[in-house]
Amino acid sequence: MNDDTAARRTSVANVRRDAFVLAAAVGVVGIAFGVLARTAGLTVGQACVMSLCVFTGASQFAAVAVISGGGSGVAALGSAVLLAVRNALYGPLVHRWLLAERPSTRVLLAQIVIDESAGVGAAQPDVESSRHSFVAAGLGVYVAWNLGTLLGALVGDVVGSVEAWGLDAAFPSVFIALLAPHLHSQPARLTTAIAAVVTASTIPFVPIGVPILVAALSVVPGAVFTSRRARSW
Amino acid sequence: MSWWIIIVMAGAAYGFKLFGLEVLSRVALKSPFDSVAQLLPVALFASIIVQQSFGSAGSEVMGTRVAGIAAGAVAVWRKAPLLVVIALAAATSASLRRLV
Repeated sequence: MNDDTAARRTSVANVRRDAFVLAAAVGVVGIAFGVLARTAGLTVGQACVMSLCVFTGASQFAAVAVISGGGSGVAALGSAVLLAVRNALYGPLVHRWLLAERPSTRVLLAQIVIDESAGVGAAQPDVESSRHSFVAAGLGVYVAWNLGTLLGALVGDVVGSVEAWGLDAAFPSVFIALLAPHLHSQPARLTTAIAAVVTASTIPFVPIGVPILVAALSVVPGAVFTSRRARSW
Repeated sequence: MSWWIIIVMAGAAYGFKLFGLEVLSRVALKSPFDSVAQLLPVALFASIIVQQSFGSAGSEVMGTRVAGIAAGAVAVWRKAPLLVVIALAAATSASLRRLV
């Protein structure tokens, strides 16, 4: 029993530490976003409202990149919206971790359903630690992303580029770490392989944000495999 | 950038999040879709990894980025904590860029 409590305490400490580390890295990218947003002609207020209310890094970077490349508002909106669709796909899994919450709390927590929080939650062994990790990572990233945006928008290029710090390599590595615990299961390995191939082969041909949506269909063979096996037992 | 873009973006981004959490989840809780919900993050992360690693093919930072990601992947494989994974991947790319 004591061992159990001690183990849980260690795992809670690990969750908090990982959430903090992730938030710190996201904060630096938030600074880069703030800088880029100002360069693209957004006001400090616009950059901050966007980070507070949109809160999906990929969509925000895409919109600002289209604008600074001379694209129209509609084009900026198009790629931002396409990149935001995937957050809906995390909903079914995240919902299970939040079943004990009041509906009004879930409506608020919806804002922190993003790649990072869903990933940290999905990497946990049970529902309670998933809930805890999801909330810790989501809130931590929310605070860091918004502070970073404000700092970047106010101060300008204080840290140099994301590339100079190697953060463009750090984020894919974070997702490798979040994916790794799933790879023990055969359907997950199958899904990973198909999704990777589908993404790589669609990137050159479709607009940004679309490959990930096509890759979402890669769950079908793995899901069929799982339900067949469940039925045969 | 005009405010209306930011407002529509905010509405769409939150709308998708809430739709997934409260509407899609009702469909997905039924048994045939159960494993779909479990596998969706796996598919999305695999896609994000490929997109972020190779999405900007031809750019001059891609080689050093992939080297950093490989270092990060080795750290994950050796079951290193997240801090080490991030630090190793970033440090590998950043120092290669300073050398080359």
